[in-house]
Amino acid sequence: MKEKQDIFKQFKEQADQLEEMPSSKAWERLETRLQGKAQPTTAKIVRFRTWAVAASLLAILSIISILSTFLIQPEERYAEAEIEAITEISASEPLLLSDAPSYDVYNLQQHYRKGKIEEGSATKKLVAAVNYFYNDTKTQVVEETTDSKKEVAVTENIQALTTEPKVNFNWLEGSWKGKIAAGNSVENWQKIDGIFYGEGYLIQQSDTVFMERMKIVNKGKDWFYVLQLDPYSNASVYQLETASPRKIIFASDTQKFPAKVALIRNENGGFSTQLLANKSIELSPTQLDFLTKRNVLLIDRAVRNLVRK
Amino acid sequence: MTEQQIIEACERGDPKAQKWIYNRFAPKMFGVCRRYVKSSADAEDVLIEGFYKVLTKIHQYGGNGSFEGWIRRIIVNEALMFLRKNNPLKNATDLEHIDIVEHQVSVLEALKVQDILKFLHQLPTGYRTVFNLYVIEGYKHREIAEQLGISINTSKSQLILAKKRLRQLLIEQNYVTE
Repeated sequence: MKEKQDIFKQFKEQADQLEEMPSSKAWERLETRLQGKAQPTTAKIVRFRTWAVAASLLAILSIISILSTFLIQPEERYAEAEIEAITEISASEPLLLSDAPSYDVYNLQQHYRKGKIEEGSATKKLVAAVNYFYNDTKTQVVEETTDSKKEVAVTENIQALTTEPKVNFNWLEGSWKGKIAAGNSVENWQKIDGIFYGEGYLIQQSDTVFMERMKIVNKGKDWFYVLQLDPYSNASVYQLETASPRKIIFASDTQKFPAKVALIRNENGGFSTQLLANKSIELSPTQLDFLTKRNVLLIDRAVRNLVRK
Repeated sequence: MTEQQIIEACERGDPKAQKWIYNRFAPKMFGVCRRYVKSSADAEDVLIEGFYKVLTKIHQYGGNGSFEGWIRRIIVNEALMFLRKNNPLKNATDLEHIDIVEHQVSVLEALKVQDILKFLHQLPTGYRTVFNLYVIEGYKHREIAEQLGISINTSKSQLILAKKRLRQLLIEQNYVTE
């Protein structure tokens, strides 16, 4: 037993002494970065060289792809740079919470936007934040409302659904709560400078957080839904496909799951987000229901797990 | 100048202080990056990004614990962020029935610093990451699970498998014998 442990102890001892000189270019790149200029990464430069070698092949391929793009999709295409500008969720870095001064989700969100939250245990604080939000008694009012009040609300909601413009997201703003057997979920939406920013948290048991960030952007006559499923992955862009006051569908040509994102409003004032898979992969849709805004209640999530049919 | 004075100068954005800190810690931190990230070019990107954070957020170093330890945590975080972006541990599985009988080995040849990367780079990313975090950085399984977005059991399984594979490699290359 002793010898067995020694080999890994040795490993640690040697690893702790490991030093290697980075290339002399590294400091120059860092210095440029510190002076506020953008620099291509080493990896990108290397990749670029590889690309250069395959340039002729790529040229042929790109001609074919451009041709097919125009043939298959006659509608307006967006320049790479424009799509990139849409994709960028916000200027802040991936969420790593630590010294959040308050557990209030709204406050967290504000600090996060301002880039004030950087390091530490994201999960613990976020769980605490969402649980705090859930247990806040002030927000649990709907249970006490009378049936007649509910009826009035439903009528108003139906009226809103029939009279509001088709493409309208103002109703999304606010904090939405979802309740599922395994835990709590929260979705926050906020409109800043005409762009809707959303954040979704899912807490399972007491220690797992799933976080996603969303953005709804208007560009000319088009609308885009940007979805980033975790802070470390790239965001995907979905373009508005169909819209009615009740149901808005965004779709992507390239994403397999979700290939489509549908926002469905109901007459009770709530909404559901449906994530649909590409037909080529047989996944049942994922649905997350937010039945009440700023209220905990009656949330039923129909199908969340990605169960293969 | 003491380290504290250099840190303060760096907080004011003094380029000389920034360079001093880089020169002092870059070789060691590049070693850290190399343990996590296989490609040297990618490891350098991680190093630069990590140092950018170190130097621009130096005011957040509260003086609790060693300065080197603080830098190291940022670099490790940066490496993990890179790995998650490029090589997520999505396919890591929990092993319910794993052979945890750890056979005794006798050391034939002492490991040297230059052997470390050779062995670590022969491990799959998931094994390597968890091994690095647990054995070398001294993180707990709970912290690893949190950092990587995996379950505690996955972290434990990956460590067992990493050790098993390493032992196998060490035997094959005549560093140890059963």
